[in-house]
Amino acid sequence: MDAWAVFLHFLPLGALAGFVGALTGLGGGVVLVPLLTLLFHVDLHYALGASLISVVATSSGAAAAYVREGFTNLRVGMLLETATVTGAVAGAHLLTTLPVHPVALAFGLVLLCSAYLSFRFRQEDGIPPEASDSLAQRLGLPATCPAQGGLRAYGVRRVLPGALLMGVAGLLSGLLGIGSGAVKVLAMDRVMGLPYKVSTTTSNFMIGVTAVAGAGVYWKAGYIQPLLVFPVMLGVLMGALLGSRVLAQSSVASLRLVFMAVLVLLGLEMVFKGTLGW
Amino acid sequence: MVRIELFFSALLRLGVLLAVGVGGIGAFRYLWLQGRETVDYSRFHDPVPGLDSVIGTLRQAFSGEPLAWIQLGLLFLHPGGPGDRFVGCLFPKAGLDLYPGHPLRAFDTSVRAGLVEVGRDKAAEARFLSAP
Repeated sequence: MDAWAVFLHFLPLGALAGFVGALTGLGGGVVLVPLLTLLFHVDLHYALGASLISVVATSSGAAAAYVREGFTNLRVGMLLETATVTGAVAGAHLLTTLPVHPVALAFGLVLLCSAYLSFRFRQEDGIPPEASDSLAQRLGLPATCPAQGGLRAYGVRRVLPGALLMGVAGLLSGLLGIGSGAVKVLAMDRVMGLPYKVSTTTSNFMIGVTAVAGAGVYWKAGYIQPLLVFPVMLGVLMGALLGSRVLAQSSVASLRLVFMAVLVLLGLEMVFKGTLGW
Repeated sequence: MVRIELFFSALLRLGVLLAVGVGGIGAFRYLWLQGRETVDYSRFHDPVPGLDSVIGTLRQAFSGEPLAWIQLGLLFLHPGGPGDRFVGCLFPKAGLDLYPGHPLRAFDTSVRAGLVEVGRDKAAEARFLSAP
């Protein structure tokens, strides 16, 4: 394959990853790594490097639009980032002491259950501002987001359990080497009662931080190949921009269906890893 | 909150535009000069010398190496991660009244998480620790 072919093949691949990542709040890695390794036989190290940059690109590209439009709840994002990165550090430390395969299997089963719940309660969308708990109100977390006919006020509940779950998300991220966007979205959506679009867009804002944490290491180790990563990044940015426009127009029920499909894929991948090895 | 949201949005956009602009120049030059060269990503090769550090990348970019320009573009994308939050906490007039400590802490912990991550790959760790 020559350099032109690399650009022509990987640009649309990145666009697909960025589109899915921007819609679901999971980053593009869940799409990118299997396609790069299985379809184009790219070495896993390079695929992981490209995936990491794609997560940063999705986070930057989509978040620029989401933050400006008022979907992203910056306060919730910044508060929960602290719990996530703390969990990630703990997860990386526990890597040598905890058995990884049973954790991957359990996580896979949790994701499959979450996909079912996401499908069953696909019409639910956020809680009213008066349902906010006292801690959320003291931290000024309830906010507004764009909705049909203007801005819609929403509340935030169960801040501490949500933060705890974010810690678990970070822990799994450090332990299993996966992006923790799925747990982030689930924690904000199901536990903290944020509207679905606010959950995915706030997750999008947050995932860049965790990804950049590993980027320096990947860089040093030579996992990031500029010629391979640049077309992927360009594609991801285009896909993320398109995804951010589609999200604003889409219904919550249809977005939940896309999220559910990705959760099922991720859950099956984890079950596979947990039972048959890495 | 509107001002801080616009501020973050502008920072994220700046990172993206710089990444695309600078990386794009390198990609264009590479394709123009070496576009027909065969590349192989099916096997892992040693890191490209000089492109595994910021200083090395800058040095090679100034000497006109197209791959270094692409790498430099990718570096500009990184402010979209913790960098914007770090800058945000140093920008009090933007209205970040409640959480000045969180971005800083998240940035610090992220960096440490990255260092801990090295422990997974002993070869990478050795390279990381021996780097100047």
